[in-house]
This record gives sequence, C-alpha cells and structure tokens, in this order.
Amino acid sequence: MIITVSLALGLANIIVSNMVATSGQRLQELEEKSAQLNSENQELARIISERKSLTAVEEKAEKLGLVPISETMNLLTPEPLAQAP
Amino acid sequence: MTDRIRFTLTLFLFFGVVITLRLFYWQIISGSELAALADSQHSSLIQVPSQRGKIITSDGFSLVSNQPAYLTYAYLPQFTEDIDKAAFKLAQILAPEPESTTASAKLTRQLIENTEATIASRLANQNVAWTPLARKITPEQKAQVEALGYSGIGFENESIRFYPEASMSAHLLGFVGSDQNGLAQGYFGLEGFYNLELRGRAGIIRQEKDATGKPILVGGFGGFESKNGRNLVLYLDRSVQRIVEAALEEAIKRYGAKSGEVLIMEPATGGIIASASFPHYDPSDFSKFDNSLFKNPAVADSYEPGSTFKVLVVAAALDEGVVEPDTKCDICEGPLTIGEYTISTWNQKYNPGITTTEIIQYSDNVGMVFVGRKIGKEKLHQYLTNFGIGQPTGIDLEEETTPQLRPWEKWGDIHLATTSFGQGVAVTGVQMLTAVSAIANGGKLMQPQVVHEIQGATTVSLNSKQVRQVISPETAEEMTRIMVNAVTNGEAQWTKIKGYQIAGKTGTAQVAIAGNYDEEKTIASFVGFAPADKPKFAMLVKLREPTTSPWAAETAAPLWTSIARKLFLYYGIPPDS
Repeated sequence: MIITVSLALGLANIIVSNMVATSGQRLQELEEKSAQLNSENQELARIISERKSLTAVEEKAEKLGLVPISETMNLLTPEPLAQAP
Repeated sequence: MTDRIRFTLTLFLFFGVVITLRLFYWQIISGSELAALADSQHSSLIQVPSQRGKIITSDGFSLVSNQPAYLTYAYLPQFTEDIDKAAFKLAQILAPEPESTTASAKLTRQLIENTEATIASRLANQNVAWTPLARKITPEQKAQVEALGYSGIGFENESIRFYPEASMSAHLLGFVGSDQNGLAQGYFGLEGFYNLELRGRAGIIRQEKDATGKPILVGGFGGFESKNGRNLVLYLDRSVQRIVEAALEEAIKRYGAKSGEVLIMEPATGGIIASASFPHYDPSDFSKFDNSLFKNPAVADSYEPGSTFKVLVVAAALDEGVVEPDTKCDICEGPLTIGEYTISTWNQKYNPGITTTEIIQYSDNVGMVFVGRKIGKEKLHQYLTNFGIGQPTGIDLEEETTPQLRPWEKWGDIHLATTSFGQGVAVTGVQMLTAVSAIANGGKLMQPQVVHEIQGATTVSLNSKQVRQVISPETAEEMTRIMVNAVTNGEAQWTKIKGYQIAGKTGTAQVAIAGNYDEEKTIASFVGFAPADKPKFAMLVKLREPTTSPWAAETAAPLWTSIARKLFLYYGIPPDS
C-alpha cells in the first residue's frame, strides 16, 4: 500500500515538474509581451502628452479660427437702490 | 613483493597524487571561477530598468516624462553579414540628424559617412564579442533595423526624457545626463536637486535557464525588483508659465535687453507659480548649448537690486517705529555729502520735506539715507537678515547661491547710505521676491518651494514652511499702501492697470564691473504683488542691459503690468472699481 502511494506521488511529482519546467518558454513569451506592452504604453502616453501640450492646443485653436483675447470688459453690477446713499 | 606489484602500487600512488593535485586546483584555486562559469551556464541575470519619475505641473500635466528608446548592439559571434554592406545600410538608419533643419545635403551625407565608418570599425573588431552600435534610438529606427533581418543585432531598453512643452521652464527643470558609470544623473534645477527621488532603482532577476536559454520555473529564482522613481508635483502653473515666457521673450526683443527673468510666487505658500529666463536651452539636447546657460539665473546670479531694495529698508524702519508714513525728511533739500562721496537723486531733482511715502514714490536716494540713518546699522542689518538677505532661501533647486551681506560692524556711514537705496548690496532674484512676498503675506516670510508633492508608493505633501515673522501685519499693511502709492503716483504710473490695486517698486541698478559702475549698462527690475489687499501673486521682473531705455519704469514696469493684466484675466480677478 505504502509502496503504491509512494510510487503514485513520485509519478505525480515527475508529471507536475515536467509540466512546470516546460512552461519556461511560455514565461519568456509573456515577459517579452509585457515588455512590448509597457513600451507601447509609454509611447501612447508620449503621444497623448504631445497632443495635450499648449503648443499643440494653440495650433489647433488657431486652425479652428479662435483668436487670443485682445480686450476685456468688466460689467459691474449696480448696487441695489435701497443700499445707495 | 614482486616488482610487478611494486610498479602497480607506484603507478596508483602517482595517479592518486596527480588526481589530488588536480582536484586541489579545481576546488581550491579555480573553485570560485569555475563555480561562476557554471552558474552563468545554467542561470541568467536580467536587469530590469526603472523608470525615472515624472515632473508634473499643478494642472496634472507631465512637463517631463519618459519615452522608449533603445541601445542597438551587435553580438559578433552571431553576426554573419558582410560588414561593409551592413554598415552602409545601418548608417542610413542610425546616423544622427543634423542640428539644424536647414543643414545642407553635404552635412547630412557627412554624418551618414561618419556613422558608417564607426559601425564598420566596431563590427570588424575581433577583440570583443559584444559591441554597441547606437544609443537612444527611436522605436521607428528599431523597427527599420529589425526589418533588415540581420542575425546578431539586438536591442536593450533605454528610456530617455521627453519634454512635451519643449524648452518650457528649462532652467527650473534641469536636465538628465550620465554619471561616470554611464547611469542617468540629474543636473541642475529639479533634476539635480531631486535626483535621488526621481531616479528609482533598477532591478535584477536571477533565474535558472535551460540549454536553449529559456527560464526553468522549478529552478532557483532570486534578485530584487526594480523601483520606479517618484513623481514630483509642482506649484508651477503651465498656463501662467506660458504667458510669462511669451511676454518675456517679446520684451527682451522690444527693449533690446541682453537677458531677462521673471519669477512669480504665491505669497501665502511660497510656491513658485512660474519661472522664466532667457536665453535658455533645450534640456532634451543640452549638449549643444553653452554650459553658462545651465544655471537658473533667478537663483544662481546675484545683482544689485537698486531701488526695489528700498521697500525692505522702509518696511524695517516702519516696523521699528523710527519713521511713520508721514514722517518728513529733513535732509532732502539737496545732494548729500558723505566723506568723499556725494549722494544724489536719480533725476537730480530734490524734494525738501517729503514724507516716507513720497520717498518711495519719487524713489529718492537722499530720502532713503534719511530713513537708513533713522533705523541705524545694527537694526537695519538685523531686519535685512530676517528678510532673508545674505541667507540661502532654501528653495529646492540645485544651484542656489547666496551672496553675503557684510556684517554691520564693518559698515561705514557710506555703506549704511548706499545699502538704504540698494547699492553695494547683492541679492539673487529669488531672495528679493521672497522678501517682498513677506510684505504681501502680512509680514510672514515663507520658504520658496517649487515642489508641492512627491508621489510614489507613499505620497508626501511638502507643506509650505513659514521661516519667521519679519514685520508685524500692521507694518505690512502700511508698507503695502506705500507701494500702491508708488505704482499709482510714481514714475511708472503710466503702466498702471485701471481698476486694480498693485503694490510695487521699480529698480534701476547700474552694473558693477571691476569695482566700478558702468555708466551705460543697467539692470532694470520691478517687484510687486497684486491685488494689493489680497495678493494672489508676487512677481519679480528683471531685464539685463536694456538698450531702448536704461530705466525700469520704461522697460521692466510695463512688462510686469502686461503679465499682470493677463494673470488677472486668467485667475478671474475682477477690478475693484
């Protein structure tokens, strides 16, 4: 009985070890994929930053026909009549 | 014992000794070397690079971030291509771009030829197995090299700094170069001051590998994880910075100035909202610029503040109670002679019996000597020290310098006189602005700070730091009224903005060269804050050697008000009336 269990456990150990050991390639592929995605992520963040820069926004605004504010006007609310001296 | 047995025993003994010696050599003499060799055959060390921290403006925009780049190398035992042909093709992709966009075709060709020669010589080098071909290449260049399909050509991840707003705030940011070991190292500005926080730590993974180089999951695994650098969140407002840079660049051209600086601070916190200096440099391409441009002049260059300094002297005298805003000057009827020197006013006009308020309004040097004498050497020195003159401000930038304030015991009468109107004393721009911000902040001197928060695994908020109470809130209020009067009725009154209360003071200082003052060269400056009753910002404007006019009232003051006008609009500050 003991011998049978020992043999079964030993066999199971060999099978699991074999399966895990051969997963190295898969791990390497995943690591490469992770590095690639990180790199892509960084590149996309760069593109977003570039498009959100004030220089880019200003260029886009000009193309849309927007112009800088040249003159401002402040509208002052008159005091209520009852508070006037 | 027969000879045969003796011979056999001798043979056994001989081989026994040989084997023992060999084992001794392997185990003891070459043990560590062989163990390392064996280790390298069945395990690999992978360096995991860390990302340098970002520098983020107060609106959450990354003013400095990272972009992917690669080191291209050749592993020569696997490289089987024709060297000359490969070098020619690689050079077309990897040659650096000319500095100027209008560079001639000849120059471009020259750069390609130089790169081709370098690559060819490296590929032909038989003394090494691994050789770098180009550093910091873009993902596009990497794809082009990969498309060539050469075996033995590989890439390593590198990361380089990316500046979406190009040269914006270059002096404040500093740049990233390499240290003596080739590792990223920040220099100047924030990159230099916060290098430890920004740089992070590269990780190392050690794992067992099989014969094909793939990792064995049940094998040994060790090392330590990489740790990315921490992000810096600034007080700096990107929009204000852009307004300031555009205005300063235009003003330098308009007034023919040699250089210029604008520094804006939030008086209540000491936070630096904007800092611009021209000429500046491109931090992504710093090696193409002269070293003299790297230091931030607002913290590294000292200058004589001239009349802007008068506000500190009058504030000290008011706080000490030796003068009142309406105290009349009793020595202001003409030039003043002190020893071999004559003190005169800037326009040779004299104002007998003018009040303290009018002394600032007319920027009267003789009147300032009157105020200086009232407070005396020791007390004036003490107040100036409390305002931070002669002391480092503690701003979080690498290159801050601290001009010395002469001890009061060594002041002669002439030193007291000249110091009272800002001559013979040196300050940095950040010292001057910090001191005037104390007046705007009810007399409380704050430590100037660029960074507001450090983000990482734990986020640390850098609270604003009050250095000391320099003058009482009442004195600060009185001084503010005097400065508002100076803007409203002084020589720069033509620049005032209708409806807004601005507290400020012009300063036109001569440039000291080899112990003498240059008759023609000046540093024109204006320092002030607004709105005077509830200051949102304090600003220092400095123009070096303006040529259209030497006077601050005609150069620095209009630049100050042109920026302030835009800031009122940006912050939504309505006029008083």
